[in-house]
Amino acid sequence: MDRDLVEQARRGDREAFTVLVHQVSDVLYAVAYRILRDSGRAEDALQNALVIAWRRLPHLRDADRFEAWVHRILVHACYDESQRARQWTAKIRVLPADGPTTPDGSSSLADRDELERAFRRLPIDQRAVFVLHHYLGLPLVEIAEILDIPAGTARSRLHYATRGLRDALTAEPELASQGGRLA
Amino acid sequence: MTDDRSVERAARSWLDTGPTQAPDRAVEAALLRIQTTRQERDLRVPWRVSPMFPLRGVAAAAVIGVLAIGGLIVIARPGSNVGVTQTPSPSGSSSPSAPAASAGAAIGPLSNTYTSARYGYQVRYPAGWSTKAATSSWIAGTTNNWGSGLNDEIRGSTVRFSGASQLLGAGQTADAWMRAYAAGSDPSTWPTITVDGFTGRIDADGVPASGGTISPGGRMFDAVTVDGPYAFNFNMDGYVDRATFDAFLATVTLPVIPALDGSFTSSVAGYSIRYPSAWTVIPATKPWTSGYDTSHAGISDTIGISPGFAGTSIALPKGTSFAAWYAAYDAFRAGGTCRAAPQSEPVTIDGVVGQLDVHCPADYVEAVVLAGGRAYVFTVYGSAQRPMLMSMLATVKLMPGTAKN
Repeated sequence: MDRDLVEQARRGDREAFTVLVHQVSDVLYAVAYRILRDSGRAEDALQNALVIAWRRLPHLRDADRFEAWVHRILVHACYDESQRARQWTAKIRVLPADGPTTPDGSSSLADRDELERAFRRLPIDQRAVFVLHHYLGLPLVEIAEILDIPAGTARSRLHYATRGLRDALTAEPELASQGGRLA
Repeated sequence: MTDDRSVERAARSWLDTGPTQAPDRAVEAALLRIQTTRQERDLRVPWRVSPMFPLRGVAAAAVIGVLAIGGLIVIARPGSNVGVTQTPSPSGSSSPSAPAASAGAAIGPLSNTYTSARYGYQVRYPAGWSTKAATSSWIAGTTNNWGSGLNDEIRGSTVRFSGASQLLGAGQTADAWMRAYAAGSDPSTWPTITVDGFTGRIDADGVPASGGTISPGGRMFDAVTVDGPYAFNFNMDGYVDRATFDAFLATVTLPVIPALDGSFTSSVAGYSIRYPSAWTVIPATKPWTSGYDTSHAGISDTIGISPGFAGTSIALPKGTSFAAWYAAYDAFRAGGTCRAAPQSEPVTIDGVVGQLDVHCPADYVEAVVLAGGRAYVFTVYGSAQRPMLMSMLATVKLMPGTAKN
């Protein structure tokens, strides 16, 4: 990330921030989609995160930490979107069942469906740690720093997410036979 | 697939299959919003002093003046003139009868943030203070005295911050509103102040606080400013000085209300409305004919996202009164959202009185009104978006005769 761009944006330069937006949007959207499992909500989270980042940029102390800082904002935007989805489902929109968009040769369709259902049942904070660790490949110490949580908390969230997926996958055939769908 | 490593391997593979590019529309929409979004100022109040800090007299005033510039918040106790700025005031500067004090007490950093669901502004305040939202709206012709219920209040033990706003009249300019507010005084003589980038006026600058104050014998500061279609009034009373008032005002963020420079007419739902032209309009594709869920695809016009507007209407079933329909709609709505108790207020849209649902202001605000046998539902989504909805509603023309079905 270009430190000068961040500094310019900190001082209110919208053009500099626009360049930054184009540099980080793809990865932010990818992370948001994987946490929320909904393309519309991921778009909303991305938008909100970028606007919040612009507003709060003058508070960023270390320009070199921009990327980690904006990831934190994105994760919190995902938390907000998740809460809104839970509260508004009846009124605003039904959560679409977005599936994977490209073929996956390493796991079966059934496995992916099972993972999709199991992952949606995880608490949003566990999803966030799981995605940051397994998708972005970030070490737990860095995740803890990004999310401003103790390293032990990051570790336990990852542990519970993994265990939750494992348990759900084990029990999935029974749930599937009952026809339940959890958003 | 039952051990952790198998789960992690499968999950990593599954995670890799999702999209990796942000949709252009999302990025462009964010950049558009940023064009009308102001950055926050980096205000920090990093330290405090002991409440027992033993400063007295002129030396104390000088020291505290320096500290205040550094961001320290100081409350003037009864009998104090510490920190009071001797600027001209239309209501009279600190009068000889104003209390004078000999000590200051730090109230610490403004670490908490209050968001006004009703008026849309934000302000920071010290930890430990209590907040109380206004219970009704300040509108033209009403006076937002302390205790009127028209002000949001943030209270410390001896100091109170109050905030309120009102929509300008149709075609009313900021200057005209200010003159009306001044009620015969000349607001151009009032000292100026900047609130979130908007120029405002100080109409009371440390005058003795009158009846109803939180701390009899204390002082009062009052500021007004206009942000687009809204006028804002911020006030502090009690054992407070100008530096404290300024420090609070420096943290105020006013709602961003873009100019309503676009016009949309709904051929499906039968109404017209003005909106920010940067917002994308997606017209309804079919009429709303049954049920209470306005989120079904295509039955609402949507304009913008986060914040965003939705509008729709439905012909009431024959023999169904608006009251009965609204009660059922309200019950459905309350069951599907934030689970707070239903809470509505009167609202006037195009001359017709309807209901403004404010039970879930952190998520959305919604107006429902009956016209020509149709129930109209107008919603703005997003936290503290009431000012946005109210300014848009002021432009609505109801045209039930043009609606489909």
